[in-house]
Formats: sequence, structure tokens, C-alpha cells
Amino acid sequence: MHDMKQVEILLVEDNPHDAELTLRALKKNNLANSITLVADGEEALDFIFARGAYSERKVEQIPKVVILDLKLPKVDGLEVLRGMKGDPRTRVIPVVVLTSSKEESDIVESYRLGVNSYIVKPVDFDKFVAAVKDLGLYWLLLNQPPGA
Amino acid sequence: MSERDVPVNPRFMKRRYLALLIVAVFATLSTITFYICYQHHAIHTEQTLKGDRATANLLALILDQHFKKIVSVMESYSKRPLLLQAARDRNAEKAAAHLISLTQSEPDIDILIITDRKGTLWAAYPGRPEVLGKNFAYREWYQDVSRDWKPYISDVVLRVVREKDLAVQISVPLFDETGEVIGIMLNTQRAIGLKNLFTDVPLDPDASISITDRKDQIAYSTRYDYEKEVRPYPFRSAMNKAMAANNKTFAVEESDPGGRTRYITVTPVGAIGWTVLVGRDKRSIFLSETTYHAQVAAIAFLLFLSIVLLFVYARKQVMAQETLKQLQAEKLLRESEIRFRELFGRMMAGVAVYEARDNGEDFIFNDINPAGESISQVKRTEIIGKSVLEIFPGVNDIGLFQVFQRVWKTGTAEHHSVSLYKDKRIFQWVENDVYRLPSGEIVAVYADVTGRKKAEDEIKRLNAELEQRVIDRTAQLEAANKEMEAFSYSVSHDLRGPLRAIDGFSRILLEEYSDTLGAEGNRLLDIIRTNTRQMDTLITDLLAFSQVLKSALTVSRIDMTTMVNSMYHEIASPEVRQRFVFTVAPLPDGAGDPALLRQVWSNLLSNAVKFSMPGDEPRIEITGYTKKEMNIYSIRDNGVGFNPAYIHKLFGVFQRLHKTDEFEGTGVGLAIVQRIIHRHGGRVWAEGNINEGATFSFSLPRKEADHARHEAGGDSAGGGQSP
Repeated sequence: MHDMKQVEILLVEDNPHDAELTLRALKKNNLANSITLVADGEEALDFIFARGAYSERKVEQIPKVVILDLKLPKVDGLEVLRGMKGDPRTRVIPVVVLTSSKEESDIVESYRLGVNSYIVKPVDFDKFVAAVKDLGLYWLLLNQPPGA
Repeated sequence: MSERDVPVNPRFMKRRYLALLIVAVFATLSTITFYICYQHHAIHTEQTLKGDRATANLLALILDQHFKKIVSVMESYSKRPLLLQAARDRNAEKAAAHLISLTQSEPDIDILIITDRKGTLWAAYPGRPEVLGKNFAYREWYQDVSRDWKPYISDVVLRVVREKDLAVQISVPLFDETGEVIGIMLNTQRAIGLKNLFTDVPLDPDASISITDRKDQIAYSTRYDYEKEVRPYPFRSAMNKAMAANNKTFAVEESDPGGRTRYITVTPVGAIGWTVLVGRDKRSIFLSETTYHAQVAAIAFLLFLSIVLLFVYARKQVMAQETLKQLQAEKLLRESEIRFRELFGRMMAGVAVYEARDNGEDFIFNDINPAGESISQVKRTEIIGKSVLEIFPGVNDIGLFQVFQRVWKTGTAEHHSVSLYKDKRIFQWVENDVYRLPSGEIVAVYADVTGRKKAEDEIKRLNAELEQRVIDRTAQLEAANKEMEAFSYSVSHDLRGPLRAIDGFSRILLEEYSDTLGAEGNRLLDIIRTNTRQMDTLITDLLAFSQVLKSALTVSRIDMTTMVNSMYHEIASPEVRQRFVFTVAPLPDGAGDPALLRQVWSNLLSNAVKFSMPGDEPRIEITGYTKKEMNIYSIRDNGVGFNPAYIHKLFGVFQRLHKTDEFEGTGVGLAIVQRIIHRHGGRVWAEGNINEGATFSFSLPRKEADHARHEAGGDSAGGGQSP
């Protein structure tokens, strides 16, 4: 999972079932070429800042998009977001929050910290697939990251 | 005069004033009396003299008439032819008959004689043979009458015959047919006979009457002896002076007796040169007024006595009133004294009275009340006259002694706030109010507030405790709120994960193993997915319901008509709108949180649409009106309605009156409506019957301020939770 080629999607999701569903949805839309899955916030930060298990990575090799759940063990999603958007090297990485929480405080706080999209996971799988497809298409294919 | 003006020594002032008043009254009355008498005297004198003038005029007239009558009678006889014949013949006998007749016809005629032209007497009556043939040409009367041959009245003469008294001679010439004087007829009358002329004239006894002749000799007088000698009138020079000055009355000083003043009124008698004089003693006028003077004096005296009595009476009255007032004042003073003594003795506060010594360097006890004795644990008898520093050595430490000095110097009362007084005997909290009395004494009113102080401290302690408890409770409440928040967060987040997994993997099963599962397997998986979605809706609604409490109210004015129309368009699809008859009456503008009220209308309108009767022409009517301080809005439909028996369940959470397969829904909508309206300070109610439609109504306060108040007083749990 940690090859040297550029990771396109970093999926941060602690629930394995949700992760599987998300991966399936991405695959269904042929977007699962290069996906790295991490199960908690700490691991996510390690990956992004090339620390710990990911120390051989380079921070400069940024993913094209980070799909981030908010409710995570150890370090929660908002902390991960804050860490990324607080560092000039990682600030440019697009972050899409994909979460079950419709809590307004979560939405507002996420946008305050600089999230690029906030998507509530639909319970209905069909709608879920449609939502994942939309975000993948937009951030991976249509969006032009700076200096990419 | 007034007693009230001189309250210090009214008796003394009064007596002095009274004496002065009496003197003043006496002087005034005397002056008035004297003036009245004087005026009366002047008028009376004038009137008396006027009477005298009338008398004199009358007498002069009578006298003049008398002489004229004598003369005319004599003249008539003198023209008798027989008498003239006798005269020519010098026949004394024949003449005598005429003389007798004349004498008898006129009683005033006394002696009658007839002379010839040369004055030789030839006839007389009564007969006087001794004088017959005697010539009287030397006599004054002959000279006077022969001057013009006119009747003549002589001055008084003393008769040489008979009584030899004063007499008047009246002579008339005798003329013959040719007018030749042939003799003189002479009549001699006694002066005393004049008296008879005046008998019918009423004469004032105080007045004297005199008559003078041309030589100012007295011819008749009621005052002077005149009968036996010819006497000159004593005041003839004054008389002549007055007549020359045409004065009717003149005053003379009598030489005898006593030099009294006489008023004399003078009047001439016709043309004969005689004068009538009416004299009167000046004093007699005054004496005649005595009665009048006595009356006036008596009246004045009575008046004086009345006034004096009135004054004395008035003074007695005033003095009596004064005494009464004094007695009343004394009584009031006694009562006041008793009242204050009682007050002093029974009041709860301690009262101590001090007197300054050594120019305010020390204060000694003058008095202390029983409350003071018990508070300070002293005995009145033992401390009177002693220094405050000796009895209460601690007064210096709490600054009370300095207060005493200040109050004694300035006279401004001071409050000495609660202080802890300590000495060897006493340990207590005291509060003092210090005054200066008009006498210069210092009064301290004080109370032992040790009990109160303890109570206050206790209250302070309890307050602090209470405050701490409030802080603790608030913290607990906040913690509970946090927990609640975390709970709903978990619900929204964690309950959804499994659901999504169930739905997602069911879908995957359907997609990838559809053939293996068979028709029944596919149907069962669909049921699983349906229930999953239903659960998701439930969770969503539940979250929405709890959300209503969390956000703060943002109250503003709302155009309700517009809001209702826009919400209807939002919740109803064009197909639905075509099917429904939707009417909105003009609604009163409301005041409230727009987002929450949109939710209300959304839920109510959704319900109305949802519970419409299939087939019929569905209707929705919105109405509104204002009642007192509330706006009331209603939404009526002609849908399936509800059983009024369950009306209490309508607004409960997850309460449904219809089966799920008839109408979708979680049973949260109306609960949310009720929560929102309650948060606004309003009320929600419903009316309806099965298959007869339903009417839902809610009320909202008209004023925005009322919402704020409600918000401030209400939901503390929901407040302050904004993101």
C-alpha cells in the first residue's frame, strides 16, 4: 500500500464496512486506481506529513484528494483537517469530508478550517454511489490542482 | 389691646393700658361736652338777643302808636267848631265840656289845658283856678309847638303839680276857620302810665325795659327809679355809639353791682326821637342754660361710666380666657411630659443624655432610660454625674467619643454605624444616633445589634452557600447539556453507519447474487432496504426535533401570507397543486423566527396535503386574525381528519394516528410544530373528526418583545447552543 507512485485518493475511514462501500462505489466508477486507506486520524496525519510508518514518503508527494470521515479514533477528522490546512505544504490538498454527521456545528467548523466539500453519507446505497461518483469525477478529473 | 400680642406679662400691660384708656376717654368726652355746651351757649345767646330785638321793636311800635293815637284824638277835638267858638270867646265853661269829654274818651289823657296863642292859660281840666290867666310861653313845650305850629310830644318833665312825678306833655295847636292859630291844647300824661301799655306784652323776667326821650332821659324803666326825678340813661354814650353804627345790640360793663356785663338792645320809637332799650344780664343767659348743661354733663358722665365698665368687663373676659389658655397649655405640657417620659422609659432603644464638660473634653451622664440600663448593664443611679469615659472606656476605640464632640460642636446629628464595642464588662455590636438638644445636651440613641449582626452574618454565609450551589448546579446542567449533545451526535453519526452498511451490502447482494437468491430472496432484501430507509427517516426527524430546542430564536417581522404561499409551493409539486383548492385569506403579519416558522408551515401544509381524501376535491384553507395580544392562524383541510378521542396524542413525538401503510411519516412533524410555537410563547390546538377534515391552529404573540421575554424566561436548556 505504500508504493512510491503518487497516491491519488487518501481515504480516511475507521468503519471497514463504510470503507468497503466507498471503495466499491469508487471502483464502480473506475476511480480506484490509486487509493490509500487509513483507519484513524493519527495514521492519516502520519501519511500526509510522511511520519511514522510513512516516513519514507515525501511530504511533497501530495494526494490529489483526501476523503475524510469526521468521527475517527485517536485523532478526529476535524483535527486532521486543522493539521493539513495549518501547514503551507499540505494546505493545497483538496479535502472532502464524507461523514454521517448532519450536525451543523461539524459543517460550520469544517468550512471554517478550509474544507473543500462536505458530503453527508446517504444511507441509501444508490444515492451513496452517486455521491461518491460525483466527488471523484470532480476532484480527480475536472479539478486542476496548483502546480500539478 | 390684644392679649395675644403681649403674652409675656399680659396682666401688667393690660392694667396700664386700661388706665391710659380711661384717661383718654375722659378727656375726649369732656372736650366733646364742653364743645357742645359752648356751641349751645352761642346759639342760645343769639336767640335770646334776637328775642330782645323783637321785644324792643314791639314796644317801640306800641309806644309810637300810643302817641300817634293821643295826638290824633286831640287833633280831632281841636277841630270841633264849638270848641273853636269857645276859644274865640274864651269861654272856659264851654271849653271845659269838650275837655271833659276828651278826658273821658281817652283814659290815658290826664290833665288838659288850653292856652291862647300867646300861651296864656284860659281853660283847664280838671279845673285849676290858680293857674287861670297865667302865661306859659316860657315853657319848653310852648316854644317847641309854636316853632312850626305842629303837634308836639315833649321830653319828660317833672310835674310841679299833683304827684310831682315824671310826665310827658303832648301839645296840639288850635286853628280857626282861616287857619289862624288861636290857641294850644296841652295834655300832660304821667310817665308811669306807660306801664299800662306793656301789660299785654309777654316779657322775659330776666330782661329789663327802659325808654328814653330825645335827651336820653329815662321816661320809663323796669330797672331804674324814674318817677320822681329826671334821670339820664346811664349808658347813653354807648347807646348813641351803637345807634350811630346802626348796631341793634351792644354790650356794657355795669359799674354796679359787681361789674357784670349786660347786653342791651336798642330800637328808636318812630320819628319822635325816643328810644326803647331791652337790657339783659349776660350771666342770666348762661344761667338759663344750666338745665341743659346739666343734662349734657349727665349724659356724658353716663357714657363715660358705660365705656369704663365695658373696658373693665372686656379686660376681665380676656384675662379669663388667658388664664384658661394657660391652664390648657399647662395641661398639654403635663400630658406631653408624661407621654415622653413613658416613651423614654419604655422604648426598646437605649437613650443616654450627656452634658459636655471641660469645653467638650468630657461628657457626663445626665440621664439614661431603662432600655439603656439593660443594654449597657448599668444602673441609672450609679452613673448619673459620672464621665462617659469612666463608664464606657471603649467609646474612644470605636470613634463614638469623637462623634459626641463633633455633634456637640456643630449641632449636626450623626449616625454612628454598627461597631463592635469592647471593654472589661461589655462585648457587643452597637449602633448609635447622636443628637444635640436645644439645651446643649448630647443624646445618644443606641441599640444592641449583636443579634442582628449575627443574623446578617448568617444570611451572608447562606447567600454565599446558595451562590455556590447555583454555580454547581449550572455546571451540572451544562455537563448534562454536553452529554445530550454528544448523544444526539452519536445518534446522527453512529446509528447511520450500520444502516448504511445494511443497505449497502443488501444492494450489493441484490446486484451480484440476484440470480442465486431467487425471487423470494430478492423480495426479502427489498424489505430490509425499505426498513433501513425508514429508520434513516426516523433518525433524521428525531434530530430535527431536538434541533428545534438548540438554536437561538432570531425574531423579526414576517409577512405570513407570503410565507404560507411560498411554503405551499415548496412542499407541493405542480401535480399536487393542480389537484388541490388552496386559499389563503389575508393574514396578520407575525413576529417570530422565520426559519422555525417556515418549518411550522411546512409541516402543517405537508400534513394537510398528505391526509387528503382520495378521490374527493381536496381543499386547504388558511385563515388568520388578531385577538388581544395574539395573532391566531388556522389551516383547515377536508381530509381524513382524526378521531377526537386521541387528540391528546396528536402532538406527541412518534405518535401516529394512522397506519404506516396508509400514510407515510414518523409522527414527529406536529411535535416539532408544538415545540416551535411553544418556544415563541404561543399555543397549538386541533379540531377535527374522522373523515370530516381537520383544523390546526396556533397563536403567536404580536409583539417581538414578548418573544424575547419568553425566550429569556424559558428554555435554558436549549439556549446558547449555536454553532
